[in-house]
Amino acid sequence: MLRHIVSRRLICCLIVLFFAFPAFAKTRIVVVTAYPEEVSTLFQRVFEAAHPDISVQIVWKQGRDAFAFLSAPDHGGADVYWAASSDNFPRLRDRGAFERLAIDRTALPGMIGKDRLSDPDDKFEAFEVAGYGLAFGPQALWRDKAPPKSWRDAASPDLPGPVLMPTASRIGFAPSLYDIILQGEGWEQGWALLSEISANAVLSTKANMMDAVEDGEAALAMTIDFIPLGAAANGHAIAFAYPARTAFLPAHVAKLAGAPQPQAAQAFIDFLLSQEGQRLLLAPDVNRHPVRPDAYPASVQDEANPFKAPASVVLVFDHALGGARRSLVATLFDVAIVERHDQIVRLWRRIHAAEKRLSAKPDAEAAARVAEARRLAGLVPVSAQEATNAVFLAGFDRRQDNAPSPLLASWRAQLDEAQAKAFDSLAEFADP
Amino acid sequence: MRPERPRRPGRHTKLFAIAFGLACGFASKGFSGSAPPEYATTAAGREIFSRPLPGLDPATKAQFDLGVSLFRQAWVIAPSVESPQTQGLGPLYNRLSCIACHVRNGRGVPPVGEEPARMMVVRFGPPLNMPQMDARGGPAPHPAYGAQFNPQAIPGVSSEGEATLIWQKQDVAYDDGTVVSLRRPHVAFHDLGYGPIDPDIPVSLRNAQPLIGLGLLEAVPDDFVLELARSQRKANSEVHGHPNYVWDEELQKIRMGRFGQKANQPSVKQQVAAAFVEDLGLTSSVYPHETCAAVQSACLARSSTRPELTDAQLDAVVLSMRAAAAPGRRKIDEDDVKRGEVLFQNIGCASCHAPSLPLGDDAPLPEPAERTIHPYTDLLLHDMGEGLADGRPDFQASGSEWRTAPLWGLGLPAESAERQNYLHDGRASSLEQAVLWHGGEARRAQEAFRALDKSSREALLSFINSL
Repeated sequence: MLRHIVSRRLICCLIVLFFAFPAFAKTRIVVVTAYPEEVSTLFQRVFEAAHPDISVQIVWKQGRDAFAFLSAPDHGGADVYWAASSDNFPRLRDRGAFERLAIDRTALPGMIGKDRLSDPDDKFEAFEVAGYGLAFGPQALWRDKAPPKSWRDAASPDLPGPVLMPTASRIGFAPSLYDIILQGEGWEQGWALLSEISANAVLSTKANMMDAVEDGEAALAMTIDFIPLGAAANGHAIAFAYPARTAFLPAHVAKLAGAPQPQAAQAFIDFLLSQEGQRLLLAPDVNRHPVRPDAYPASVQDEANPFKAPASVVLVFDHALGGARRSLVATLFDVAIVERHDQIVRLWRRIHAAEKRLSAKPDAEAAARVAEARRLAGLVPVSAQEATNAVFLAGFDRRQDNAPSPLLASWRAQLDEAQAKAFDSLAEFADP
Repeated sequence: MRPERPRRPGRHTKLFAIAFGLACGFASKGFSGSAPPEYATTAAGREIFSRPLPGLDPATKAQFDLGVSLFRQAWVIAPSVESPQTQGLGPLYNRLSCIACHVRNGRGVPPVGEEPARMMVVRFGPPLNMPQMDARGGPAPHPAYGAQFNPQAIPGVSSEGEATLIWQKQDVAYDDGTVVSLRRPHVAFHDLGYGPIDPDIPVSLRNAQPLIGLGLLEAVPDDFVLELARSQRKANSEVHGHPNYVWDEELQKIRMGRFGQKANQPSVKQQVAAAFVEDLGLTSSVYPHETCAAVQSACLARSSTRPELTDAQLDAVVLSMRAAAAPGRRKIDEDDVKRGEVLFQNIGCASCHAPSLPLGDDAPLPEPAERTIHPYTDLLLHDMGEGLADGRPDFQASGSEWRTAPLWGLGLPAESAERQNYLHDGRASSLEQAVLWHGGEARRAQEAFRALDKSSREALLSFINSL
């Protein structure tokens, strides 16, 4: 027989009491986020356990939806904006949407090395960083091979399989991934490299491409790090390499100006930035990197700690520029790569075949023509100057869906002409 | 389309022979070979509940992947510029996604303190002075809160409130004097949006359950389930399960139920569609209306007038549920496990947790050639006693009846060092506690378990953990 510690009668009284008199009212804060459910739920659960008087309502909105919602005069009734959105945070700050945060800079430097992650005016604060690089299958196509070390490795014609390349207009992290290459290599050289990599690529509209990597269907996946790190933590045969000149890009948190529940909102932000909150980032379903150096336990490997990454390896990324030109990068990726992918593949394969023949049988004049074809194949119809011009970039604000179609038509015409000339330059190397 | 498989001769004769064997005990030994069965995944790791049946063709695998991504998707409030294909959340809802409660396709995590019970749902019945059944024979909804408590609402609609748990503790003693502490949850409501909740109404707390091997369970023939019920009755013991008969929304008729903790859903498709509309507020062709109660005028005003989930999306999620593999067994050659398997049989656990079930000829899933599965359930309802009763009847399930839970994969949370939460409301934080809560038709088995010595109890639990 069960031996009850508490008498049945007392329990019945307690139950009736709870039903008849609903418990105390809680303070409810509205948090706008686009974090995956595994992440937002974990932080919500742990915070609410520590603050039983506060209830967190998650309103899930991505990019343009979040911007429109938070741009309303009352910010949609939201208290906190918590997301990885390098373009929304500065734009909303410029509209006066955020309150200044009081940050303890001894614990939260807001920087990694020389790379400033947080708003200089403390209107939004870095919450975590994620790295970018190349995922590969150590038990599939990379068995007994040295792991990739540079972005250029993805362009090698000798890769054991295709490269999975996320489509920039469809996958949220992709514009930042490509801008790391554009800032690291330089605008023109960066686009030429992306074009050459795309010759090996299967363009993906899935953010998580790890199945194909694990199964050996793809040699590499260009990706944000928490996806492969999470897959590996959950038992998949996936490895990840941070190539030279990569970057760790931040997600942020901000308190909305006029937040309906300012104190509870502050408590939530304080929790996110606390050592306890930051350590949750290391959980196997999260796999982000804390922005507090003291949140890294000694057991974390140096390569998984951006604060210990060699300065020679990590790019000092221009976050403001990266955020401002996300839409340009996405639009340009569509026009320059997605729309003409079959042609690019044929063009680069012919260039690689020509270079192989020339290496076996050198010919200076032919080599010059191949070099010209290479230049034309990687041509980008937007100058480096335009790509840093705020007025020009404003014309590609996806929030307003205002990409100027005459300009896009002119890009297509330039690319058509350049690639036709490139094929002409390679006429002597055409397939028999 | 998959080519139709020729029907096998003598199907019913075989079913009855197997069921008879189960009743007599000699055929009830589960899978104990060294190679995993064909329908089980051999993968390991924390995502083992999310693995597809082995050998899916590429097109089916692509559908499976799409279903998994929709299962993980955080749905958004309409209108959405950014993700119009996943809009329609609410007006009232519990969570933004399926994965929020079914963590990695597995169980939810009940709160330990005063935080809201976000990974659980609370189901209501009507006040006792009102009709308890709806026109289809299912549980009538609460007049102000509907059939399920929805703590979240879109802007402009009042949330129904918040639910937290109060844990009542009690001790149980083994015959050898060892005491185990148990806990039982009671629901407390906060910030109620539509008036007080009568303390007398049925309140059923449910924790999210693992979603594995559902297509395999769907493929077990009704005839076999009925024969198991007949066999139990003939055995003239305390165990006398019966199937639930429930309303099939698509076929518009009463059918045998087999999904849900009271077997109140007849198919994976209806179970998935019901979860979308009740938990996320997403209507579909199966459930085209939101679940707003009559008094929830703002909710009704914001209701969708057409299905928010497309048939293609629903079909993909259903396929991903049907094609989710069961995990393969572990440690089957260990002496403790072998000894535990014998005890499992001898003390009566296998009377309800039937080790072996056959697959029928009309299995709506990528079919394994192997025709017998080992889920350790009879898919029948059993009275589990006052301790587990929720007092909320559901079609032919009484307030103290529950469908025998499948046991496959039960030991995996412990292997991953994760929190364990068993039974319908997550009250048992170990398998041992789950066994000790068994009452009603399972009382004798539970008492036999309590009478075992420590090493025998551990052997039995080792066996269950190996499933």
